[in-house]
Amino acid sequence: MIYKLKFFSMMLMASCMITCPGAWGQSRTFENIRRVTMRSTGTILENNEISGYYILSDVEKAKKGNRTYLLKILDENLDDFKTTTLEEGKYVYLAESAFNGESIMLKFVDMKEKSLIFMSYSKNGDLLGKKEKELTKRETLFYRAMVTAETEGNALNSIHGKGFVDYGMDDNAKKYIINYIPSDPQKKGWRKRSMNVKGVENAGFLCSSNDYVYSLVVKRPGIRSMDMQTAIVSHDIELGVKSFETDLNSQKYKVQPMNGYFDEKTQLLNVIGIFYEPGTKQVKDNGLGLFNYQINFSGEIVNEKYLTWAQDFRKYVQVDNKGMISNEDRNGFIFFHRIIQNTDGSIIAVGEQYKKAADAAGIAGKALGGGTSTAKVVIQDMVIFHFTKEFDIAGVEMVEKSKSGFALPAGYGLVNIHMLSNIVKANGGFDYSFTSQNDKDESTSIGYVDYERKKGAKNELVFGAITYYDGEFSRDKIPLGHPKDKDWIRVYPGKPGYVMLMEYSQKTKTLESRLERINF
Amino acid sequence: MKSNAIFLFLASLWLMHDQAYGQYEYEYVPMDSFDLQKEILIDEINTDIAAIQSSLPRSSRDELKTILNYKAELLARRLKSNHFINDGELDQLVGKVYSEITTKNPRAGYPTRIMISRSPVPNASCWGEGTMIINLGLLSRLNTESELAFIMAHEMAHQLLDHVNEATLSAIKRRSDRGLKRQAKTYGKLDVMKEIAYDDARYSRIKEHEADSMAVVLLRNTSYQWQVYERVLDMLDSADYPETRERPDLKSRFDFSKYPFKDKWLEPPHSGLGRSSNTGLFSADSLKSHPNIPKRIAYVDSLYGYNAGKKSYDPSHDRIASSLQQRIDLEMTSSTFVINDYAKSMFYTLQMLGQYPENKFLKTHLARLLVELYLSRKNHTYNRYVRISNYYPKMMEELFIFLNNLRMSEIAKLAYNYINRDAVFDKTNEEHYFLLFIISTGLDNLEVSEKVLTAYKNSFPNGQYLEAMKL
Ligand SMILES: [Zn+2]
Repeated sequence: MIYKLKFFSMMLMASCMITCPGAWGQSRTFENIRRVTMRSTGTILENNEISGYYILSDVEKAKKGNRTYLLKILDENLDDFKTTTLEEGKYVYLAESAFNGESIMLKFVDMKEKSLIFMSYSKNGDLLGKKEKELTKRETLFYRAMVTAETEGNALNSIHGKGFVDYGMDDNAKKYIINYIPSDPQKKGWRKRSMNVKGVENAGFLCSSNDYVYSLVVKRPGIRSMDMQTAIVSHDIELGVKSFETDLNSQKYKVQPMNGYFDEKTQLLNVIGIFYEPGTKQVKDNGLGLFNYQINFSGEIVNEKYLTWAQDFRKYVQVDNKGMISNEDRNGFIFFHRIIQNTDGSIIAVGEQYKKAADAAGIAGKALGGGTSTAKVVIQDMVIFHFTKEFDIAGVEMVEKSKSGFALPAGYGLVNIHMLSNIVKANGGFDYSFTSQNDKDESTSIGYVDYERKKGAKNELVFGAITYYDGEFSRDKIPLGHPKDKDWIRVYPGKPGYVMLMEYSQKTKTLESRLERINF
Repeated sequence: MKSNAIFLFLASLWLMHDQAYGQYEYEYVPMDSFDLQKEILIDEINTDIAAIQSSLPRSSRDELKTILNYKAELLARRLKSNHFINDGELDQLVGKVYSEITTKNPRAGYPTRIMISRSPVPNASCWGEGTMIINLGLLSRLNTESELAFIMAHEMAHQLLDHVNEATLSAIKRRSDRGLKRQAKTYGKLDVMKEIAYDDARYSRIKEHEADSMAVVLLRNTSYQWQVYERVLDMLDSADYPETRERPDLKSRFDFSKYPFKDKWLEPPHSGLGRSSNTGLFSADSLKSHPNIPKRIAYVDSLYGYNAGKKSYDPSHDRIASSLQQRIDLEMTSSTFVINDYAKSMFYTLQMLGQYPENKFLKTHLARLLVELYLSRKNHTYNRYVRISNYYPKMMEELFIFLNNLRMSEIAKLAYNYINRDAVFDKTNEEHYFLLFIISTGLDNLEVSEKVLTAYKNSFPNGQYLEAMKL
């Protein structure tokens, strides 16, 4: 889960940033905002948690047709951490970044040279190493789309204290590539490509243990086929040797894994997802329920657990056999955003309720000769599933929010609802914002944005946070409406347990950014 | 012999201290802000700025005008938000030094407005249009009138030599230099930016030397000890909070029988990247104008030092009354609060409570701070009042970590336990009822809230907080 921080594009270039000198005590204020286009901005994540931010801006021409870029790294509190300059080609963008507790890895993409540039920095901000890697044809398309859409990818992931893994594609997207880059430039990395001659195999990062990196592999008979088989591939981090490849489909069911984590206590890899009738060719709904597989270091599934909508979940929520959850006048399937293990060992699955509906505006448009789709996806409540460490249901939290609609592009009316939810997700249509874990507090917070309808007052945009702490869930709200003297407030993910608030005032032309604790 | 004199001097200091303590053992009344005078001051500033603007050289008029307007706006905004202190005793002190310098050095062009800022930063500044600002944080570090006189004379020198406007003009000029564009082409924009930044710093270092030496010239004609420069400049050098003062003991202050102190509140937070050892694109040392204090001292020494018959500075000579020094220290607790720096306000309050444990103002102020911190956490504005960073002033680091570690309910519980005690709760103080009411309601302890409200209504049937105390 990675978030684009577009607000940085409103800030001034590093050299012109004015931090109010007299008011040392307080939040950072940027005065005299001028619009400057940033080359790239984003978060530096370690294990899904924010440890800093980067801003890359294009400053000027350099020798041999190159450009000079100003790279600014801010720490988790928005204090300056490192400012440096780079000389690279004219079409260089910062695509992704990660932090592994020891070093920062920045992944640049050079669209002209069709290459990736990996630069790692130490905690002192010194450049540790620089590596270049040629892009495959398919990857070039992928990164071009990413740069154009100004989104951040999730191909680059950190391995705590060791290095980074980056995922790529080869052979016209038919084969995956896994690239391991150690933090220490003296050490050797490795690169693995899927060996299967037949069919299509794509891979992504699942999680890692001390010694192994686990990747989720999706296999299909052909590039257009929807018939997916999934497997977990494990590689030795240091050596790159494949230690196992385990197919996840059991005799009993077909499965769609969604998330995984390595449990330090049991030393088992946990994979959680939705399970379906065996032989299901195309996924259309929330299946039969949720599963949890526990896999040992040899790749054996030592525990399988299945929780069905029809029996297990029904004790906690009103749910039909396919996983459609009803509450009061609402019903809908669940889109799972994230599954996370709490410090107490219990597990949280963050879901959001959605369903397909006719789009009144779309219908009107069509009657007038417009070409828009008449279908939309209605996004409803947050649904948080809480499981014990043994994967028994501990409770289901329904957090009510206002319905919001996501109008579908023309022609999508007939696509199945499960596919649609992925389109909504890819287009940022859900209200869910992020999940952050604060190990120190032993708390987990889930953030979302809601448009609150108020009785006797103006409706208001609010940021909501649901926090799991000490075995209980509690809620916090931050109004995002029009506070006194401010034109808007926005909320962005902050370091664990915090959100970053940005308040803009047109009158004084100031943009104030500050961190605020999520209350629970 | 010399050491004996110092001993006697220290002993006499302690005697004076005792007298001062007596005065503030139980009470303190915070210093005022300007009331109606604000508007008059703002008008004066605008008039002075307009006068400068009309006499500007044509070439740089537009840009300089904007900068001057920004200055006027900033001063007006600060005046309106009560950033400045309006206090007779401080005015008298500053006025006395001002008139000694100006009457012994008759000439035109001195600053016409001297304002005392509530800022805790030990600094003074000259704004170029006639305003001179002395920070409370600076006053709290001074021991003698001579020290104040040197600082004021230094700022006056900036005004007399028209340094501020000149500096702005030359900075603009350096930036609009025609050669600059060509230079940028040859050497790159970043190099030129660096060069400009170094130039600005170099320029201001030269001006600091000029102001220092003129300050000595001005002081030599007065009854003050011009030899004080070394001591004053040394003080500016130690920009951090003086380590000689005691750090408040949080653990003993916030340990209650019903709500014991938790050691984890003092644990530094996890920081992935940690502290940076390498922030600037430009070398920091060559950019600062103030840090080069030893060089400034050496420069003044070379002009007026031992060769010129320099006598040593006698710190017992024109001491600022210790009762006023104590008042200034106490005022730091209130002034930092007025300018919304709650963490520092708590730091000074705890420090002062160490000296005056029975001072009613300080007790109320600590209760007020805790309740305000709770409310700001609830409203998600906390970090406007308590900064979050990996870089705090050393003495205050523990307090900042503590305040940022606390969860909302923990702040509320600390506030509740602090106020709801015989040693603190004052039945004759309306505000105490209000604070206890707010915090018990926040903790959902409505039984207590109701009791407090009833007691308040009985004691203060027309109380000023009745409107705000609703269940
Ligand atoms: Zn100066």
